[in-house]
Parts: sequence; structure tokens; C-alpha cells
Amino acid sequence: MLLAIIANLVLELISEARISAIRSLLSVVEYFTNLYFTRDIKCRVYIPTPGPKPIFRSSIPTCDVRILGTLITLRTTIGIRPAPQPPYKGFSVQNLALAIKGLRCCVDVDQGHRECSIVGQVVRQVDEVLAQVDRLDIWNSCWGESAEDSHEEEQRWRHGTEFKFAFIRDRT
Amino acid sequence: MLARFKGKVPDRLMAIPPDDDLIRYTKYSKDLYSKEKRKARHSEKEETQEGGVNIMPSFTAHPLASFSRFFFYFSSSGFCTLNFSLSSAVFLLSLKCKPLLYLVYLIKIAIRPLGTLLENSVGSLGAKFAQYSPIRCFHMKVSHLALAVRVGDLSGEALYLLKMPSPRGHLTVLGASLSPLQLTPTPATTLQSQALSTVLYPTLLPASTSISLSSHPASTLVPLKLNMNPTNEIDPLGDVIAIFPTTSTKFRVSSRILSLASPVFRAMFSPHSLRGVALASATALVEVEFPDGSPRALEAIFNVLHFRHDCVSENVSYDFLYEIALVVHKYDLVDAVGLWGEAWLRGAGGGGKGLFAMYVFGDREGFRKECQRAILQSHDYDCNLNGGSEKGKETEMEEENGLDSNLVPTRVLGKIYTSPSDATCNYS
Repeated sequence: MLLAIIANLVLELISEARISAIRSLLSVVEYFTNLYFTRDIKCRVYIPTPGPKPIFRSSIPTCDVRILGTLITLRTTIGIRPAPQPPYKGFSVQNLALAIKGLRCCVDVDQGHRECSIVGQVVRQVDEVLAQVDRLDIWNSCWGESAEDSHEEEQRWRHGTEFKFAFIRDRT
Repeated sequence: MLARFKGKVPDRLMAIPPDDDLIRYTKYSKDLYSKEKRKARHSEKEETQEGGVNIMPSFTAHPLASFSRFFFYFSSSGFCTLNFSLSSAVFLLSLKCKPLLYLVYLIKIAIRPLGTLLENSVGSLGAKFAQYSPIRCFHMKVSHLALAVRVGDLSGEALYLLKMPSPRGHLTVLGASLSPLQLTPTPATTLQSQALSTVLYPTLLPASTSISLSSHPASTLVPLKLNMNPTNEIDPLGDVIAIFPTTSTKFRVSSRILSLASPVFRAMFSPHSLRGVALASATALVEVEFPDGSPRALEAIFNVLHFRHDCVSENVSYDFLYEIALVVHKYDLVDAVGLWGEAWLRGAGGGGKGLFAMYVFGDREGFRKECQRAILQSHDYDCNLNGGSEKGKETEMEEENGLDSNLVPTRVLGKIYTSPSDATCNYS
């Protein structure tokens, strides 16, 4: 009886941690997609001209459009558009993270738009999710001495991790 | 070396060549066989002229030859040639005897070098064998010589020559205990056998080569005594016989040792329990049934508890480890088995069973890593305990590429992997 309880507890924790990690990874892509859906220009090179002067077509930055297109394509190719629902059957954290990190942004590097690429930010966020998985200690959660700390961390996972994209907000 | 066994070994076994000869025989077996081959051709001609010339050590096909593609051949010089097909599914070959009495000589692997062959076949155990050069003889505790050969895709023949100076050896093949092993010298006669020559020396002798074999009728051989379910006397002076409802395997153990090792056994054999009363009043052995314990797991644990460490193998299979962990958990034997837990865990696989074993033996770090692996790699953690099954292994094999083919199409995978690390590209 005790054995079954232990096994169920461990497996439940693993399952919840997996679901939470996948949810976090999906939220990374969703966040950037929503960000580039807005009308604000995120291109770092583009300097808006003051006044109601006509905007020449050639001067409109295409970074935002390309990145948005890349994100939508990525979501389609890895099968997260429309967003899957828990328990995310068929998805694994590792594979999803790798697929998201494989995002390619076609920005005009020659024109100085290298900084407009969001690849580095996406990779950092994905690595942060993986690091949280790495820090998770289910042993502690079940039987460890520092069960309280672990429980706190566990609670974060249970309710889904909120990622603070502070540097993105600063930019926007 | 053989002098050490004088007085213990029957005279017929003393005909075994000395070590140096065997080493040379092993080392230069190819040359030797090439010479034999040439000799054979030469003597074939002579035979046709004069007749009755023996060119090879005589071999006798044993009645067990049809036993699951396991072939034994006993030569007149005391060698036992064990020949088994790697294309068969699973073999368990274990030799149980007093350690250091047996010298195992590897003569020849027909298809590939031993290390590669076994490494491919049996994983970690093969790696252990790979430490030994195929051309060297090696002393080995025979209790450790447990070959769990799992071969799916390999084909070919492996040939071992086992020299067994001890007449008290127990050869266990696929659970059948053959005791004692009789090495019987038999008169050799000439026999043409294309099939056997192909089996024994496929790379060295052509199929059409004729070799000298014993055609001694099987009925006159000393038969191997099949003793399938003996009472394994783990403690010859033990007062308890452990029995199992599913098998007729029995173990004779000491209730005192078990009581010292485990609080569960202590309660079981205490004077206040029924069994304790029976033990106190019994004049004969008391049988204690272990209804849900695995016999092989309990045997391993009993051996550990009774200090028969040479009879316990470090290399245990995934399922065996799980069975051991169940017994250890049930009878609270973690402290009693001591370092054996660590040794067994070295071969622990993943999945729920591996997790359970790590939990039982207190391997915190391994448990944490396995949990992380489960979180990262599982596609749907459906709370089953069969993570180490074949299906699980296949999934792991698929996941070696990093991305799941079900999740991401192959053409997309190729694009992802070929993309530059910077993940930016020029646009013109």
C-alpha cells in the first residue's frame, strides 16, 4: 500500500513537472508571437520620422514581419499551433526545447539588423526552463530534509511558471 | 597450476595439457588450426591409402546437443567445448562452483574478436570481458561468469573451450542444473561430418573438410545428471527451508542470520510468532513459504546475508534488480545488503523500476537524475512502472536524435540541425 502511494506520488510529481515545463516552453513562443503581433515597431535600427511625412516603402523595417512569420512557421511545424492542451501527449520537454531553440530569424544582418533577432532571447528563456527542471529535486519533495524549500519550488511548478521577460518589456 | 589439484582431480582430467601449452594453444590457435588443416588434408590422403588416422581431438556430440541450439562437445583430453549460436534469443550460462578452481580458456571466436562480439552482445558484461585479451587465459570466479547473451541482430558462432579441472562443477544452462559435470574420455573413431566442421571451425576449415570425431553411442556416455530443483544449501547448518509456491526451489538458510539482518525476519522467527514456536519445538527443518518473493532475488540476498559473496553477481539485469529491490524493501534489508546495493545499482536502467530500485537503495543522486530524464524525455508519463521495457528502449533509441520524429517532421529536423548556431541569415 505504502509502495503504491510512494510510486504514485513520485510519478505524479514527474508528470506535473513535465506538464509545467512544456507549458512554460509554449509560453515562450506564445509571448514572442503576441509581442510581434502588436503594431509597435520592435526593430532596433528603425528610427521613426517625426511629423506626418510620407513613409517610403523601402524605409519600412521588415524585421518584425519576418520574425513574426518565422514564429508562426515554427509553431506550425512543431505542431503547437493551435496550442496543445495538457497533458501534452506526444510532446517531450527535451524535444520541444530543442525545436524552439532551432528557431531561425531571417533579419537583414548586412543592414545592421543583427540585434533585431530574437533567437538569443528565445534560447535564453528555453535554457531557463531547462535549468528549472535541472534544479528540481523530487527526492526532496518526497522525503528530503529540506522539504519546505522544495515544496515551495514544487508549488511554483504546479501553478505554472510565470516568466518575466523584463528585458523585452524594457524594449517595448 | 594443475599440480595444485592433484589428489582432487580424477586421473582422466590430468591429461589436460599444462598451462603454457594451453596459452600457446590459445594464442596461436589460428596457426595451430591452420597446421591442423594442412595436416588434415595430408592425412586425408593417407587415410584413403592407409585408413584410420585421427587428425583432431575427438569430440563427442552429447545428448544435450539439441538443447536450444546449445552444443557441448567433450574431448578425450578433458576439454569441454561449448558452442552456442548467437542468433538464438537469450542464453543464460552460469557456472557455479568454487571460485578459482576453474580456469577458463578462450580459444577462438569464430566470427569476430571476443571483446567486440560480447560488447555488442551483452553490454556492460561484454565490456568486462573485453578487458581480457582474447589470446590470454584468465582466471575468473566462476560465479561471476554469467553470460546473459541477448542478441537480436547478431549472427555467427562463438566457440569457447572450457577447461574444468574440478569434478564438482555445476553447469547451469537456462535454469537446468547439471551436476556434476562429467568429462568422459571416449574412444575416437573417424567420422565424416560436414555440418559439425562448419559449426566448430567455420572460418578455418572448409565445410568439406573431414575431421575425426567420436561416434561413440550416446547411450554409453556417462549422462549428465539433471537435478532441476535441489535444495540449495546456502547454509548447510541452517534450520529453515525457504520454499516458494510457484516453484519447487528451496533454500536452506539460517533463521538466526535472517533475524539479525532484518526486523521483519526477526519478528517472523521470534518466539512469539507461530514460526518461532515451530522453530523452537522442531526437531527437523522448518519450512517457511515466501509467497510473493522472487526465488532468484531471495537467493541472491540470502547469499549476501550468509557471506557467500562469491556466489552473487554484480551484473544483474533490469528486472532482476527490480525483484531484488522489492525483496529488500519488503524485508527492510537495505542496511544488511550494504555495498551490494551500490554494486547492483550500477546496472540500473531507467523507468519506474529503476527509480524504485534507486529509492530502495537510497541512491539520491541517481534518483534525481532519473526523474529529470523522465521529465525531459517522456512524451506521456503515464505512471506505469515499465520504463525499462523493450518499448522504452526503442523510444530512447528514437530519442537519440534529439527530436521526436512524431513531433517534428524529418525534413524540418534536417533544416533545424543544419541551421547555423547564430540562427540568423543574411537577407538580400
